[in-house]
Amino acid sequence: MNPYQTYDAKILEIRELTPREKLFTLRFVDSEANKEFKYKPGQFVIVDIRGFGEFPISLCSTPTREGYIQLCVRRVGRMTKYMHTLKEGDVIGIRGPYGNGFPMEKMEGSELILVSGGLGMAPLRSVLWYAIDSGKYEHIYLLYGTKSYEDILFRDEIIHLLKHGDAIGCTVKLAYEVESPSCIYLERGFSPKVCKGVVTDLFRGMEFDVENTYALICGPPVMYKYVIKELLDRKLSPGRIYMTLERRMRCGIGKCGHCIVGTSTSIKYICKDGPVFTYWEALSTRGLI
Amino acid sequence: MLKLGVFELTDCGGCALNILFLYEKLFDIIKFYEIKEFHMASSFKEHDHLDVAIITGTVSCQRDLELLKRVRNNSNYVIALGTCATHGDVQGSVEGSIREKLEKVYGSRANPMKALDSKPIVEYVAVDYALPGCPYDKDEVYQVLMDIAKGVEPPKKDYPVCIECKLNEYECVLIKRGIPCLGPITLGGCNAICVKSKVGCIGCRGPLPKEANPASEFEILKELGYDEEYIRKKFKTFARGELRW
Amino acid sequence: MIILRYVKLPSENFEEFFNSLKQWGEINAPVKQGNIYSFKKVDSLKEVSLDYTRTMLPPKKFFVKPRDELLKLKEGKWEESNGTKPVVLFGVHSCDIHGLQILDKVYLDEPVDIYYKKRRENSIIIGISCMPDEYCFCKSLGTDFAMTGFDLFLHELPDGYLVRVGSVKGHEIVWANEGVFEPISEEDLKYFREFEEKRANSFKRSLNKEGLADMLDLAFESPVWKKYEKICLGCGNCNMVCPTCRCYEVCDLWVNAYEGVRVRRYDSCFMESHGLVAGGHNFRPTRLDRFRHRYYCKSYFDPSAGFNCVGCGRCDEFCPAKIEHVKVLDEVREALK
Repeated sequence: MNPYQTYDAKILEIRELTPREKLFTLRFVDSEANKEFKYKPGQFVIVDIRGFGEFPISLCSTPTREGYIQLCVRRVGRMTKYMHTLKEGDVIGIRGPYGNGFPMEKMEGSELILVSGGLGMAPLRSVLWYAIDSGKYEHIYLLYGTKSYEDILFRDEIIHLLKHGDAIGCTVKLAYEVESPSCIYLERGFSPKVCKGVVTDLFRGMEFDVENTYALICGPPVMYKYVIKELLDRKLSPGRIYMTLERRMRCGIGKCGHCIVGTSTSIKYICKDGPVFTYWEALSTRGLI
Repeated sequence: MLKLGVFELTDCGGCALNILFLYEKLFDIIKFYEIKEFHMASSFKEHDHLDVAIITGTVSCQRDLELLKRVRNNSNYVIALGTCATHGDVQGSVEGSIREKLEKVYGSRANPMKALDSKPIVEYVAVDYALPGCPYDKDEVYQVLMDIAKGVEPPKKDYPVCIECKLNEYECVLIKRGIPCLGPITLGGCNAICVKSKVGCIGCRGPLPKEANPASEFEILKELGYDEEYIRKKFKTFARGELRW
Repeated sequence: MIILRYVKLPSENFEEFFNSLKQWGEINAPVKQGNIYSFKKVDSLKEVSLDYTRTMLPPKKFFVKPRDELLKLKEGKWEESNGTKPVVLFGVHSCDIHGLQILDKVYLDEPVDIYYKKRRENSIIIGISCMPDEYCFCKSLGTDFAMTGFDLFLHELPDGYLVRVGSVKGHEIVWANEGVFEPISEEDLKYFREFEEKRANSFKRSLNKEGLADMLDLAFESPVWKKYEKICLGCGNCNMVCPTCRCYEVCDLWVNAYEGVRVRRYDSCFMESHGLVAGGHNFRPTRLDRFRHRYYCKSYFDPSAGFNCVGCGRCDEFCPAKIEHVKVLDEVREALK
């Protein structure tokens, strides 16, 4: 088995989530590959555009819904720019899944606080729907910080959950930075769940049972330390804080060295040892966040 | 089919000629491109709008400038090809104003050819891709044209000459022979062809963007016994005033 | 279980033994090229520089090639690049054998890199004893003597070599060439011990590894890093020549209008793109970050594999700015006091 070989996956559907992000729904061409592809929320795959190159991207669909996988791709580099020109029916290569993923079994029966900023919504969407679908979690909070109304990823899902989430054990809170009529409309309709500000503002007035809560964080690099501070202030143990990190891995399997972080006392490969880490690990491995 | 034009401003002509030296690989290129103007290859010339324009040379006279602006305005993707176009090369590094130079050479400050101070094209227009080298590596231009043809942005190099020199396992002329070599501070992509022939890198691809540490290179060359004036000249041959220490 | 066995290869049989190795694969040995040494394919013993100090590129180049074609694109599908031929690496020093074992930990770990594995399985490693020069500091890292990781190891004797057998393949080679070997005598063993003692006393450089990992971790903000940031060229030469550096970059190249190849090449953590992610954030934005990162990576102590440095001295020999690994670490330690 050559770990660098990629499998044909056909683009079933492309949805434009925002002007920058598209959601690609894919299915492996080979039915065996479809059956064999098992993943956990928080894992990632390597997308291979043959002849052009590869890039890592997290899975944003949930394994509870079988038959397809989804990738949320932001147009930001040369490869993703090309990915955005692809059409439904086109075939790309996929290999994976890689990484450890979130310990979903371990967290069963607990409350989950998902904290996401910007594109960090993509891997957490996998957790969100996994948790809702499985029904094994006491309550799910999603705190989502977005730049503007237009930047809200999976907007229809977020608005749906703002409206009906509580009935299925999921509370969504949204913070936006740029004011617009749409945001004000949301804020009026769903106060106090929607407010102007940053994601940490959503912690205001929030209390949780530290013995029975896990926090899962994903967002831009600057976000982590502020969010972690809010969680630690509320006495959540660092072992209950999970975060998923990004690097540009070339291999995804702990060979190429691009995701090595740490110092002489602790070296971690984000792709192999992560991309999900607890805050304890971040404390003992410098440079992780 | 993409429409391709190759334009020369003021240069030695080597960069345009080097495209023809792709020989049989040219046939791969013309599977995707229709050549609409290429002075070095054909007198055929027909275009109003181009998908890809390759421009070589420096802007050294009014005619160059006008041609450059016309091509930029009528092309989707402009490639600055060769160090003249990207950094100014040797003619760009000559100090002094054009009038002074005219007077020195011709004894008169008159400027009937409307000569300008030689500058790289990147100083006048924005380019989509800059590929330096004096001359550039021809396989690089092949890869760039193929990538564009297939619809993907060509990758940009970010490593110094030393990387390719080591990949080829060439003897380090700087360390082992004391030959002045600008490899550590020069953008790679040439496959270290000079070092292969035991010649030090002359820095023809311009300084490594952001990363170069000319101050340290300066000290290394000084320690090898080269005088400051020599090193200063070596540094600015291709890179004009870009390498400071 | 590795059975250590000692035999003697008398000088007069050396060439015969060398030539017999051709049947096991293409012989590659250190060859002098200008002012450097390089592992190259050789046909006869006289091309080989047995008393070499170190090659520029370590033997890792046979297993992870500087430019390594992984896959070929044919009609939109990746085909695996062609197989490997058997090679005999003749005259590998102990530090490089240790270096390969460190690479093994990475490339043979699941999921196995099949290219590396195939080449490793198709190779025969014949070690040779050496005398340290001014750059060597393997003794202080414990990599000056190889217990495993080779098929045969030749130790210099006045009238030949004391040969240690390190693997089943090694036994097979000795078995097939029974005629050229002799049993060892007490005198040979005595010389062997004397040689090793003399060698141990010849090291001019040593790395103080006492508490090295913790010491470095504490020295994150050390002014020494700032000093070296100014001296370091960030050229990546140290990474290229390092027997344990293994970062690689992957690029797809076109070979003709419709066919391409996926090639990996050695990469260096001194390059700007090394810590760069999509969107422009760089986790190691300055040369200081990268310089420090390299020392952290090299000085990381893996309980199962030891340090990521074997003390071969290549980074010192091939650094244009003459930065010395041991000196940097000593200065960092000193500045902490």
